[in-house]
Amino acid sequence: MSQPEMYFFWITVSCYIIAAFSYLYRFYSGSARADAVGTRLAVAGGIANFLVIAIRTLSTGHLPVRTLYELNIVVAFLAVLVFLLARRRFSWVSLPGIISVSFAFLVMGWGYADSTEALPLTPAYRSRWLAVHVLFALTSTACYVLGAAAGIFFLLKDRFAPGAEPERYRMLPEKEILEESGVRFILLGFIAGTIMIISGSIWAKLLWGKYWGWDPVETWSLVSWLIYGIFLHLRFTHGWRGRKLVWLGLGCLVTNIISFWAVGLVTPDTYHTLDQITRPIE
Amino acid sequence: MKNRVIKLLVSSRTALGLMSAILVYILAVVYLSPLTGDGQSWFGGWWFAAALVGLGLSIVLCTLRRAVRLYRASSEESQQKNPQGPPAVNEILTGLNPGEIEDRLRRKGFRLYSGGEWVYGVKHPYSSWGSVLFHLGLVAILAGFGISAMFGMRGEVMIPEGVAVRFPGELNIIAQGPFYSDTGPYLAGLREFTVSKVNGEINQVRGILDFMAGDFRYQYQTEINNPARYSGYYWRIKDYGYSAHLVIRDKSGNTVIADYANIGKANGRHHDEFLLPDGSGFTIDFLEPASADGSGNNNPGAGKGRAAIRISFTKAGETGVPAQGTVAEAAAANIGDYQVGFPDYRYWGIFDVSRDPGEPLVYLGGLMGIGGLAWRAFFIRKRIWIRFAVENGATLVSWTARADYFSSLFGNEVRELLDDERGKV
Repeated sequence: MSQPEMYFFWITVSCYIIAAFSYLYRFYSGSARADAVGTRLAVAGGIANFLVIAIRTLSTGHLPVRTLYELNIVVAFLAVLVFLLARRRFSWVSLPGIISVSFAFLVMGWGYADSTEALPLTPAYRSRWLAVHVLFALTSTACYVLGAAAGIFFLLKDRFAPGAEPERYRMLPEKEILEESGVRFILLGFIAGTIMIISGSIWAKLLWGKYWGWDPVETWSLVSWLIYGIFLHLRFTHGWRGRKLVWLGLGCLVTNIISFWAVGLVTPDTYHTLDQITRPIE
Repeated sequence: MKNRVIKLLVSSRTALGLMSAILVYILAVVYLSPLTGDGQSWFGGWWFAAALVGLGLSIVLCTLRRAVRLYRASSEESQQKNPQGPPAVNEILTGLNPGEIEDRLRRKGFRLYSGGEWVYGVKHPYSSWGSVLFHLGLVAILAGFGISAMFGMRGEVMIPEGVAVRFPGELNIIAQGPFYSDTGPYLAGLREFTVSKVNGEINQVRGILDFMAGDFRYQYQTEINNPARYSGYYWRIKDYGYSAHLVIRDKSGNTVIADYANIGKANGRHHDEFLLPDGSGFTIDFLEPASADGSGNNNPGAGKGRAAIRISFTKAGETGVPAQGTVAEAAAANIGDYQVGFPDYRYWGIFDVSRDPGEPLVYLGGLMGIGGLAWRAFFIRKRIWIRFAVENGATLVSWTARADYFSSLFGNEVRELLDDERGKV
């Protein structure tokens, strides 16, 4: 990790932490100033985060998606970017920022604690599909996190009868809007996840000679995609709404987190490390 | 009975049930396969293929039913552009006049149809077809997999550098569809193989393949992630190793071996065992050359750009410390009862060869799937029924807004649009 990268890394983390607390303060106090401060800090953190990614790319000579640290700085950036774009469209989205921005600094800290060592790209990584596959995978996670955040605020608001909620919950829109927004973010994540799975299959065909190899990470990605697919069908075709849909959405996020982080950690036998020249699929 | 089966397949609940069943099965395999030791075979069973075919069929029928409904609905809608209008459920008083409101709606992309007291507006009327396209894309992908499984094949072949093999005669077939038929024979030769390293780490692996059929010759450079394609077959580098050129002579100076020995891999080492004509044997460890910058050389005996072999002789029926030594490239050494020469070496490559006739469908299905989903998600059909009453310079707007998805969000958009303060487009 070069010195400029380290400086910008800590600027990013500091901005994200203060932004998350500003949004939290906004939620508890209703302060509009805290909201503005939080958004400015999230933007500043996002710019610093982008610089971390750019410096890392220049110093390693490749898109930073090789190690846990690199993946986490990119997913943190995308989580904040997706949040800020949604915030631009819906002003109330600053409150789910408590979750999205906290997610960003937590995964950055986790990546930093793991290892910041730069590893060279093995030949298996040298594919034009790398950027498409990984960036859409991370974008889908960023969208799912924001969808889950909207869902959590739905559940918080849903504890109260309409009109009987404490003052701070009136900053949030009606429950229907919260639920629909959450589903909308999840739908965007599902599109990104679909692109991730299809591009990954094409890449696997070129690299391993097979579209699908039932590798643990592949399998869990498919599980997560199918569960989100079922979620969307239940919402759009079978009319599921309210608490049960939101809880299902939170469960879906768990499967995404498992496929993104947990499987690689607990299953060293995954091809997705791409450490070998090329791994035969039998 | 026939109708019942069709009804069952046409139901979206069946598709959803099959999706859930496949999901549960996959999860079960993930957890159970470590006990049985082979997860792959669980997905190769006919029941899993049958579930996928059933899901594909159910998606096709549900999609067709949906397409027919949409077609009928769109033709009905085009015939009555200005329906009577639903009961008004929202009212807003605005400073905008009706003409301004209609302009705003048009600028937002609505087509307006007026007649009678109601104005009917619609945006993205064909959005629902995106869903049809997405599901047909999924079916095309499944069909592509199915065609490849039935008409395709997978095999592998080892080719030492500078050698050609006969296709398909020398191919070791791993999987073959029941309707697979190979193309005419040809020769595939490995003209050149290179392993480039940077800082001691493998950077890229390349091979130049010659495909020869009669007088026709086609050359293709292949590398990791970029397989060669010839006559409908992919040739993909799967693994590589070294072939050491050995010249072994006995005490009397008689040549025992003068040939290339293809050294296999064991536990990450380039290591192999060979037999001599007299029944004794020897083992070889190939010590890879260091890169030009000298980095990454963990092999004592090998140097910059210069490989070496460590060789141990064992005699049949004898135990004890075998005769062993290291011979650098382009050198010779006496080891035990033999003189070992190591003039040079070359690579061998294992190529994964596959035929995948369903590939165009998989690509097409992928594009249809992504395109259909994006179409459905970004161009949602939105409809609005609106009625104006002008009173004392203000306009009372009665309206109902419906979107295929996210009607509440759309309702908010309409409220903002009708609001003369915030709704500036």
